[in-house]
Amino acid sequence: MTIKMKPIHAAVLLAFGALPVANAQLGGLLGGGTTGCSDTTPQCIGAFSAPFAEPKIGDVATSEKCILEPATGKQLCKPAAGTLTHLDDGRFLYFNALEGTENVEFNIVAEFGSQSVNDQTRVLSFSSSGAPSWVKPSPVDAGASNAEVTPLIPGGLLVGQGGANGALFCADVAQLADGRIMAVGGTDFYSEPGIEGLPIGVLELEGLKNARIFNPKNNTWTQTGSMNFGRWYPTVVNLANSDVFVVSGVTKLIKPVYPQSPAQSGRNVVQSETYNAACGTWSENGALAQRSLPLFARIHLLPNGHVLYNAAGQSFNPAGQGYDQALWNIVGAYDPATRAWRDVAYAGFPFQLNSFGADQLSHALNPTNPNLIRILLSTLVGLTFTSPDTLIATLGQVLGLAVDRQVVEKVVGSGMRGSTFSMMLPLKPDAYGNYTKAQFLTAGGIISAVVAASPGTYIPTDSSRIDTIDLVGGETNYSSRLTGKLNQGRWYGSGVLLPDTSVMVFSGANRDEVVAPGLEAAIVQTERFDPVTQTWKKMALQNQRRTYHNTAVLMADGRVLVGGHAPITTGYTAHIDLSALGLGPNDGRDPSFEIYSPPYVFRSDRPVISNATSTPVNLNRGQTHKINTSSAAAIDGVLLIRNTDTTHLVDADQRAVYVPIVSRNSNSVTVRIPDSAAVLPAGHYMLFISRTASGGKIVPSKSTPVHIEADARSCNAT
Amino acid sequence: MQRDINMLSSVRKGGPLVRSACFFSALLLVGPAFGHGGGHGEKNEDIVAVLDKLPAALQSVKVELHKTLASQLVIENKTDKLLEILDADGAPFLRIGPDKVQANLAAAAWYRTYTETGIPIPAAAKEKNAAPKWSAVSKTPAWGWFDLRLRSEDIRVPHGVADARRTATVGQWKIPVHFDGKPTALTGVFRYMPRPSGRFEARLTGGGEISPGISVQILPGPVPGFFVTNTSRETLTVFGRANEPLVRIGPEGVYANVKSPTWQQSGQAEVSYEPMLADAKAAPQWVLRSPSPRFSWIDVRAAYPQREPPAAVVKRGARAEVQRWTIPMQHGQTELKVTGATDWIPVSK
Repeated sequence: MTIKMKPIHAAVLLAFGALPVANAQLGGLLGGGTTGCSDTTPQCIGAFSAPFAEPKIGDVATSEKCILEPATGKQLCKPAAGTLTHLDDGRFLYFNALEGTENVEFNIVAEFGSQSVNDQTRVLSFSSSGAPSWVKPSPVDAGASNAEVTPLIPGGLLVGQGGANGALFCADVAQLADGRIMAVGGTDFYSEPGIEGLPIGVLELEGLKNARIFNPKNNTWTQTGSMNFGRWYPTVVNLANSDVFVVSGVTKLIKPVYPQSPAQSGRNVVQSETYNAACGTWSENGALAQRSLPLFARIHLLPNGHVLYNAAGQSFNPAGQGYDQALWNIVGAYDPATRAWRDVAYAGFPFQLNSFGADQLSHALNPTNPNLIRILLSTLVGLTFTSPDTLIATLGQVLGLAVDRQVVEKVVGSGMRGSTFSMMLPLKPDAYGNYTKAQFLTAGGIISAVVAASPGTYIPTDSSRIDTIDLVGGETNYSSRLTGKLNQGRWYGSGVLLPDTSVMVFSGANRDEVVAPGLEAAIVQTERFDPVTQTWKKMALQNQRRTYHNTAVLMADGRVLVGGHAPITTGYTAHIDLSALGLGPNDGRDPSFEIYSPPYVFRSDRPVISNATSTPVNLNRGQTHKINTSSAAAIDGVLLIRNTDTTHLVDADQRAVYVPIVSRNSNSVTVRIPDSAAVLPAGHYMLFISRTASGGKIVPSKSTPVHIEADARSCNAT
Repeated sequence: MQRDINMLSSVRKGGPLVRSACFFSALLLVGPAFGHGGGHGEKNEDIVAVLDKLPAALQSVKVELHKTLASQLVIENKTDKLLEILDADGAPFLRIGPDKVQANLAAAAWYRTYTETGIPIPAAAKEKNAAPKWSAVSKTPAWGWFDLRLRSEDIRVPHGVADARRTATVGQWKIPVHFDGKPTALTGVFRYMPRPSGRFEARLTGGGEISPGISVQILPGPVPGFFVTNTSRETLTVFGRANEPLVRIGPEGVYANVKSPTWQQSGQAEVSYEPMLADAKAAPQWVLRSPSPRFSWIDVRAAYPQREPPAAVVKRGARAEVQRWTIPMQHGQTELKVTGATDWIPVSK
């Protein structure tokens, strides 16, 4: 390809209101970001424990995942952690996904309506020596059942119930302000059309209206108020006042046709609802609070109390998509005070062209001679492009080329992204102590906007970007920039923010498993995002293949509990081993866990909180709190990381907040807890202290648990 | 309402799990997927069995035909009369109603139709003229089965139809039944409904910066959308398909004309059990939709109205512009317009 070089017109640059930065910035990215640690020792890449799992099935001690129950001829299996929550007492609640798939003989579509089983729950805890043990909550399946299905033909009897009608699978979970865990939604499996009592028909997955609460104090599940809409794959987030906001989900996954409400057909539930935590009831939020969003929409509570939709989620309904899915490309913000959504931006734009962007665009636009293009594009680094059109027009002028829009949008990673995580990076106070900026890291997943098909591209992207929300003058200003790319494209990777502010990604696959289950290869290579260099680096290899329904959560000591894996059966038939073809064995769910120890775990110079407690210390917003440590003089960060509750890559409450150090002496630092409940919603957090070592590495302590108290409310007062 | 019809259509063709299963099968089997009808024994996913209107004698019986794993008939007979389903030799193999379902366990058809692929047939059931052996198989008068007469494997699609990729009836099917002892039949046709040969993509032709402070972006999707930002001091009015006011975007936020038919199909209209009656000629009824000067909606004007582009375009097999469109707007006293085109992109490109 011959490149026709054109001079950049000054007007082009001025049009974007900024001047290009020096080319030196471009060269900086080529060095990589290794910060001097390039070997494969645990000190550099961390290490995984051996996998471990519950030792029994019923009363039978076994190392197998499943055993055959002679009386029924069915497989009984250990649950996998398709959903995983970090409880206020340091234990972990988890529950299964797709329970019963082991008993599918021929085809999951035909049989799972009757073979499905309500998912089991477990509580995992570790002794002081690290030995795991398990407890079965009561009731073990959380005790819900769908009162009635939503038949395609109202009044028809052509529905075959017989499988699970109150499964936790596909519920979202949230930690309430008092530490209880609420599971919202879930699945009623049945066959439609089908025949009652017979294993024949076509699977339907109907979202439940149920919400149920797990109380860690007595390991029991109870029902709370039900939603007004059945939701499968909804998302819930705590609001600043500790109420819980729910969006999206679909009522019927396979056949979302509702004769009673045609406008609702063919799309996800657009109505949002709010759970009044004081009353235990749900209420609809009205017309302005309606919004079409993807399933398991990636939402976050912003530090101004609004809820951000970050243009990511899951998208495979109905028949692969919603007719209105074009709207999912728009970043939006919901104001609970006015109960109204507003559009913020087309995801990815305004686009800040940095050196990573210039590098990646140059490779995409001309892989045979990217250096030449990179030199040209380096002159644009520092500019912000408000839309794809402005970026494409400028690239065309600079390069003298007809620039392919799809190539540009693919590089930017613009629009809605599926099967990825959206990680809120630590909130930091500005010079005035205000929290006015939030940043979100998104890496991997499926770029769906550029192909107009869904679930999107079959091959996952390696693109990684940071979206920034600036809250200035009452505005919600959005911008996006690229970081270094993942070392490989990854579908369904679980992200975990570590207390050194880096982000790890675990598990996932190299193909979209939902498109063609069993044809993906699991990714056991973990990666770490360095917030200083903004690059991804390969870390330790995990032991187990974990693709769909994998999970990972931060532990109190700074290690990471990695679990889950409940794949769809091979080709939606039965579990078939295609490993001989180089593909995944697709051998069913994996009930095991493994623990990842990041490099800082192997350091001998981690700071220590000497007044750490085993039970949470209650803290009120605005108060000061003293942390004892012998390394007080070196402590330069105190970070509160909210206990994680994750499923399907979603934890809308995921949050890390730097709290300001207001005083220190030789053996303690004192911090002030932020005043704003939108910055620090009530709930349970891990408090880490850290210092910056040579080379700029952040070395965190083990944490001590704290509980941010909710403002007192009564049901009548709301 | 057109979208609802489309949805029902897609339901009949199976949901995502079913489609994905078919995709998987295609990967493994790598056969001649479509075009001229599959050879013997091959599924032809482009041919769908469709149920005719029921004969008068069967009006009291509920009959559904679904394309799931294969074409599946589902019948509910809540009358006090017996419905017998006859096999290819004219012998009954299913009795549905009055209060249960009985199967003739001596009939091979019972085993062949129980699941999509059938189940093993006992030797005794393979014998012709075997004595019926009726056994209750359901306590309710409803049954679903995968009748082999609904299979499309041997249906031939005329070359002219396949080459034109047009929807057409390519065969008929008939399942004789006895209702209350009287002969009648379930009948239907096989419709050739070729899968899309490509996809459509909308683009702006006049650029997205249409006036200072006003920008427009295309949102890709099955029905494309627009994202409009107006940071100027004057309100921008966007007009709908009948040139009726659609939305106003400006410093005071976004107001929608809820009487606009275009608004009702925008993906942003309030979902209500008492939907607003749209009327393009009615006086606008403005309702606040957003406090910000940005708004997105889906707009069928940017979508191609047919499933396939003209045959000549498909035949060329290259990306082609198939439609031009305009979205009229008014900014203060200035008339503006957004112009664009919709391209067809073949599957393989």
